[in-house]
Amino acid sequence: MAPTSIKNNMRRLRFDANEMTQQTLAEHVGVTRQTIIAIEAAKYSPSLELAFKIADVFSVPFEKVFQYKP
Amino acid sequence: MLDLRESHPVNPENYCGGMCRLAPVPPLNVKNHLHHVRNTIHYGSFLRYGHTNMSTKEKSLLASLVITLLVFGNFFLNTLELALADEPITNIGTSLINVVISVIILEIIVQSLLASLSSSQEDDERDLLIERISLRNGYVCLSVGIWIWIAQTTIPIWWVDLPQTYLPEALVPVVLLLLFVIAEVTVTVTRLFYYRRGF
Repeated sequence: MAPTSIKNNMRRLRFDANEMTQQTLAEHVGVTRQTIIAIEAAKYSPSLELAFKIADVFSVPFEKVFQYKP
Repeated sequence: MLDLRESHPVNPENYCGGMCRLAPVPPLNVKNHLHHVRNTIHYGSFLRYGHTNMSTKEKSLLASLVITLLVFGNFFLNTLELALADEPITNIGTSLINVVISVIILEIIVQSLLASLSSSQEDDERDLLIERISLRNGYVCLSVGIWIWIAQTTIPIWWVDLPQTYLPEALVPVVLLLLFVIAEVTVTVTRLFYYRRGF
């Protein structure tokens, strides 16, 4: 499966958020850890709702987390 | 248990932009190679060193696939042997019911064991997407099988030169079950593929 065109800074943001684990982030946004892994690896583009939830967890604007790079 | 800290001192180049530590790729030597093999077997992944463990869903799908292939495979092979030997196929209804009940009982036992050993996970949007894709693939397989079967039974009627190749009546439910099993295996394999590859 080719990586998507949606890039993200989730690893950096997790690190900045006191080294938040993938499991913790997954529990905050209500998905499985496997989904967080897939999003971080840019193998899965989350829905808008999930993307906004992730940005909300880190308390940053949406575009700080996800960028579209065709 | 091998201690990676001694054999692989943490290299700053293995850090993700100085933020998060990725699993370092070990240099090639016997000790590290053995550790890699153990890691690969334990985590069930051939994709990447240090990849995640199999999730509960993957284990459940794998168990389901093995049960389906073993029980139904055994049944279809036995039926095929009888059909090829031109022996009368009797009690096919009873055999079908027995094999379906066997699969149901085995599934209940194995899935209950797996559920008790690990925490349950709710389906999220990625799970639903993978399920939709796998169901579509299963539907395509089932449709193709049905159309091939229809063609095989009707085309000889249109062109009388072709030999009539009707199935014995006793085998009709077996062929139908075979098509359903192929579709089910396709669904399971597709789901496993996307869970392993990441999607």
